Amino acid sequence: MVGEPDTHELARFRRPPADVMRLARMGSAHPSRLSFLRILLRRLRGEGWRFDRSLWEIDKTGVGRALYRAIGPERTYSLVAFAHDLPPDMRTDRVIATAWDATFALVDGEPTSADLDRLEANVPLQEAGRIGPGELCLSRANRSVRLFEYVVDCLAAGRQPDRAQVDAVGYLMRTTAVYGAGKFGAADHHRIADRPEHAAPFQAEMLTVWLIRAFTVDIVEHLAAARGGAKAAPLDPDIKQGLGVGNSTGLGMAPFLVRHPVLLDHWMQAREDALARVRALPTASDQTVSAFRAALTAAQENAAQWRSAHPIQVDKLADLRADLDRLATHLDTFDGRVPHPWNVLWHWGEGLSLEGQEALLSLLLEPHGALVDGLTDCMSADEDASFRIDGTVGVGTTRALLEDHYDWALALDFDDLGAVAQFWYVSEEKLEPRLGNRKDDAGAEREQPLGIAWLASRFHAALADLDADMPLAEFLLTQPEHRYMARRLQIVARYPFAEVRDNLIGSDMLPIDLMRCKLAFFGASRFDPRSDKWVRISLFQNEPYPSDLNAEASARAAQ
Amino acid sequence: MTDPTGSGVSIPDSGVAQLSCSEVTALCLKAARGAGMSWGLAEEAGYAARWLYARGLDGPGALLEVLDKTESCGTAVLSDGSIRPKAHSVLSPITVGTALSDFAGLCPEPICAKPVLRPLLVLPFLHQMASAAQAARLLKWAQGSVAVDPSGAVCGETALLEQADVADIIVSAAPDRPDSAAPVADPAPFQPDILKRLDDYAMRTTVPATAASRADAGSMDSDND
Repeated sequence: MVGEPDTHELARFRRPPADVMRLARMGSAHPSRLSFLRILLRRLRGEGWRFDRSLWEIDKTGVGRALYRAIGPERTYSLVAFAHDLPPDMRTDRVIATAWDATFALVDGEPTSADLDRLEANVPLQEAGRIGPGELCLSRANRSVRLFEYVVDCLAAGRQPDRAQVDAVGYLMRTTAVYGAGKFGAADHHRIADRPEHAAPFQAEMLTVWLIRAFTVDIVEHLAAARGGAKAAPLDPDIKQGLGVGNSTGLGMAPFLVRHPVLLDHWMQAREDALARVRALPTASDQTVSAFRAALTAAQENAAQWRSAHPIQVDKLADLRADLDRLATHLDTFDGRVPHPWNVLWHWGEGLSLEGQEALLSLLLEPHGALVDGLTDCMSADEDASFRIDGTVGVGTTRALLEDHYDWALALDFDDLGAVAQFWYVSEEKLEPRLGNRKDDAGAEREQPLGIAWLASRFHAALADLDADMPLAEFLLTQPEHRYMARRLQIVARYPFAEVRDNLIGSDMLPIDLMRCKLAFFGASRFDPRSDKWVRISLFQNEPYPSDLNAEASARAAQ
Repeated sequence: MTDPTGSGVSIPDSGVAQLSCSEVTALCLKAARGAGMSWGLAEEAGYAARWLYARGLDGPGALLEVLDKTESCGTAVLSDGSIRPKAHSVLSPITVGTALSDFAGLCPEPICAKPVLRPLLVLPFLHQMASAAQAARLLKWAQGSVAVDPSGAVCGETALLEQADVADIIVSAAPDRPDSAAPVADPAPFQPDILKRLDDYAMRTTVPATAASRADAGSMDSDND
């Protein structure tokens, strides 16, 4: 057991924000034990939560409703599931869809029958309906055309589906949105933020998806039984274990990290602190070395099964597989007795591709739960606390701060069309963020403020000839158009990992890099871009089901 | 997981909606931007409307009136402890509130501002001043006064302030900590016309779709597989 590391001592093992906050590196992020779904499972397991399916009113055609309960030491949460009969031509993962194979709400507590009726009138409508302060999340999922019917047919005939065919997809259904934190009338996050089970980010959303995973297996087995009768088979536990919940996501997710700089900082800080703590360890025990090897083997298996047809990801996967193999070979001569052995390994790894380096980061955290898991307590943020601008700061100091924290942005030439080639906007039709081409597309005058580098550059130019002693308050009174960037600068000055240090409107910017970073923090695996703005991922693959945690809790109780 | 931080509020068929605080923030921020405020000021407008809404006060309705009169409000100047419009007839409460918060510690109080449209919207900024100074702040106008303490508790003639259309105001340190803070009321349901009109402003931040933009936002291949 290692004591709390000395902050000063850790400093030399930390990576600087200038290295960490680059899009190419963020776009190579891997899930780790600090990921939000892992945090959820640790808590559910550690606190002995119990789970049941308290309602199953689904007919032979797969239409109806069901209720799953997660019963914790103090509170219960319920997933309400509505199963629908969706004509295939209406099935799309895009936010432009109006109907889905299944729709869900996570209820804070247990719904009454009146609640269920109210939810049944609203949840299937998704964005066009309303939920209330008694609900935490709204979600929906579509069946995988490649797998769902195939698995039902197999099980109905009493056989198991072909393992390779199952692995090629990895999920029976994929969610296409999981809304929380006050969206569509749901409870605001601050209403639940003081509960320990919501101290880490996105815990309600993770619980929703995890319970959806159980539903996807239940509905397949239900349909198989309805079709096959007595000869129908339940899904083989091994196959079941390998199934996650798929997820499709587009540009809607990309701006989140830019819009929530303090949160981004806290996620990154926690991860970087965790890495620094491991690198700072004076020695490596045999036990942690073998746990590291086991994690590496699992990562190699995962990389072998990870598929993508997107050219960028195909290259990255080749890098990853090669790097993990190099790491495995290197490990044969790894000496855990040299001073700071993990740091030595980290430095060796700096010769790997970005994919390999970031995978190594996640692997290094894996055997060190006791050392790093506590950092997840620091991953939430009170964004209101950093909202107020300090107007007493002088213009000269502000200029210096800009030159210090935005040197990367001030070095860009915004007269070059390539530096402003794209613009972010919100579509009138579906209110989803999209990217336009500034040269050809209409709407740039309604640009969203995500081109931070350009905003920083304009702010810097506006401050150029002013008296250094002029208070920022006076400047902002006459030039309120720089207020947005002034606030951001003060946040970044306090939180060094708050800003993505790349031009988010440049011609070579890839939104999938932002998405991959966020999804890795969620705990997503099998990142599979379907374009440079649209990705598929999998959640909870190879993780336990509610029934597994019930069995574990019962076994512990019996001891 | 879709994270529609850009999404709007769905208006139910009945027209009456109980909005979450995060929806109020998002709606009012976008409405303020749609009405022509800079992004930074629009964020303050979203903050102010939400702060009031969370306390059972009609921040969104007050903001809507301000947005309807955007053209009467312009930039402001502060001199000799007084905030005045530079060229226009009235001051936007968002401009006044942010100036009060920004100048806290720089400019001796009391600070007066005149004339201020819908001065209710200045209250949330008194909370910021009070937090920064760790001492309550008091807003006075001809009909009464309201104090806000560092915790955000409000006391005084809030109902009168909610009704004030235009007022000359004076902001100062409150002599004592307010001792009879009004209980925080639950947010009232949105009136359909207010929601609709704020949403109309918010929609001015959006761009009409084209076939190309629709196609570009999704997958290159079928997403039904």
